[in-house]
This record gives sequence, structure tokens and C-alpha cells, in this order.
Amino acid sequence: MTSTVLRAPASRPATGAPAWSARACSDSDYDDVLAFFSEPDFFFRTAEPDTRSEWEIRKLVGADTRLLLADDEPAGLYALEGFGGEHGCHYQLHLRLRAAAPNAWWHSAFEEIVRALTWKKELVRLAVQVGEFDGRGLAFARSLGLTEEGTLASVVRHGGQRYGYVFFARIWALTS
Amino acid sequence: MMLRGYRAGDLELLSGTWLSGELLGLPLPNWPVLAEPATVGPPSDETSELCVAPGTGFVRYCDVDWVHRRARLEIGVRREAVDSAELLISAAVAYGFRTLSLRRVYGWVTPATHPPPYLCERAGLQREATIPSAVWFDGRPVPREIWAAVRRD
Repeated sequence: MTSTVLRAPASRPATGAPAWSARACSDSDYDDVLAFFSEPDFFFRTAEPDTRSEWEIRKLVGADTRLLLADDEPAGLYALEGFGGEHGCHYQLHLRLRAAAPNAWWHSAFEEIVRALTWKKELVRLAVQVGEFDGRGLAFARSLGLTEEGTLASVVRHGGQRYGYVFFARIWALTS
Repeated sequence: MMLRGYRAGDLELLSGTWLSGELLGLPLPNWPVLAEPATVGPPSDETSELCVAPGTGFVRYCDVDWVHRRARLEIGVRREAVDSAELLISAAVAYGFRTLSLRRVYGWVTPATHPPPYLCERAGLQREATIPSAVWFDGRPVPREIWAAVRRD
């Protein structure tokens, strides 16, 4: 007699992207999290990641932050901030993968996050803000085809100069 | 020289045999064997900004005034890394101007500790004032100098 095991459908697109999973950051994950922030371009809620102290990193990685695992290996962080109340259907995404992650991973991670978010609730607007200094983030947002809505100039300082934040979004049609 | 954010494992970089609060804290000779080393606490809020140079020491901006963009600089150099002191102070000043966007960086220099004056000068700092009997050191009150670098762009 064979038993049938119910499994979630494999979330592995044909692009060679890893199997994604995520969990809240526990104390035992903090070595990995601190290692992420030692990379000078790990722009997760900060424009100067590698000089942030441990206490500040713990503040940036709040209760809303999830550790992203690629094939069960820590690969990055993401957090979703809701806007406009429970029925606002508007979220801002903070997503960062470690420098070694190939570009294709960014796309598949983003789509998995969207899939999870839209599984249980309606999503109308998902916004992503990227610093003008963040070449990798800009390339990701543009190659993904997010709508580039404009730049809020001179809001953040990085490497001795002021930069703006470029606002990107994906908009879904309202269902009602 | 690379400065990076503080981690719990860097604790030993935060203490040494230098005069507490010194702009460029270099290990002092004749430190009494029973005297506690100078120590700064790990960073824990936004009133100070502390980075470490692994194996070399720490750089701390304290009393940060984010409105007027000035802060007092403290550096501690490990005994085994005194040859890197010049690189560390230059990196510290550059970090203050570039990353923290400070306009004025200042700190205490105590002549009685015989600091090599060229180290501060090469990092762009100048002596601004001498304060008599400003600190107790080696059994007596000694003067302390304020040294500063001001960004003029």
C-alpha cells in the first residue's frame, strides 16, 4: 500500500531559481544576518550597511522581517509594510539578497513574495523604493518591468553625496 | 583602512591602555599594572557612532550633534597595531565628513601623553585651544588641547 503525501507545489521555475522558503529571524539566524550587512551593498533599510553596528541592525531587522532561504540556505531578507489600513491593498516591499545571489534569484524571490501575498488577500499596489546609488536594485526593478514612477530627489546620503529614491510599483486592477 | 560596524565579538577592541576620551588613544608606557584599562561601551543608541577596524582599534563619534553636524572623535589603537594609527585617524576623519556628513570633527589631545603631533596634522586636524588643568593624568592635573578639522565646502 502506498501512502500519498500532500506536498505544496514545487516553487521552482524553469530559470534554475532555487526553492524559496522564509522564516522569522531567530537569535540563531543573526550570524547570517550580520554577515549580510557586512556587504557594502546590502541596502536593506539603510544606505550604509557595512558600518552599522549590531544594535542598529537588530533594529532594522524588525519583527516584520523574514529571512529568505534559497534551497534552505540563508540568501537575504524581505519585509512588507502595509499602508492605509487592513483593506488598503497597498504594500511597500523591502527586499535584499546577498551579493552572491544571481540576478535571476531576485526575480523569482519577488514573484514568490507576490504569490504568497496575493494568496490570502487582494493586492492593488506593491511599491519598491530604490536608492539612485543602488545599481543592483535599479537593475532588478527595471528588468522586472516595474513601473518607474519618479524620483524623490536628495533624500538620502551615501558615500559622501546626496541621492534620491526612485519609486517603483506594480499595480493590479481592482477586482471590484 | 576599512571601518566596519561593531559586532559583539569586537568587544576587546574597545579597551586599552590609553587616556580615556583621547582623540587618538595610543597605548601608554608605564601603565600601572593594577590600573583598569580605559574602556568604551558597545554602541547602543544614536548619540554615538562607533566603528571598528579589525585587529587595529575603534573609532567613536560621541556627543553627535546632528543639527549642527559636529561630533567629538575618540580613537583607541591596540598595542599591536600602533603602526596603523595614521591610517586609522585618516579613515576616521574621512568617515566623519563623508559618511556622517559632519562639518566639524574635534577631540582632546593631551600633551603629557607625548602624542606624535604630526599624526593629527596629517589627518587635517589643527590645534584650536589649550585648556589648563583639564584632566588628571599620572598623578597630577595636566592641560588638554582641543584639535579640530572643519569642512569648508
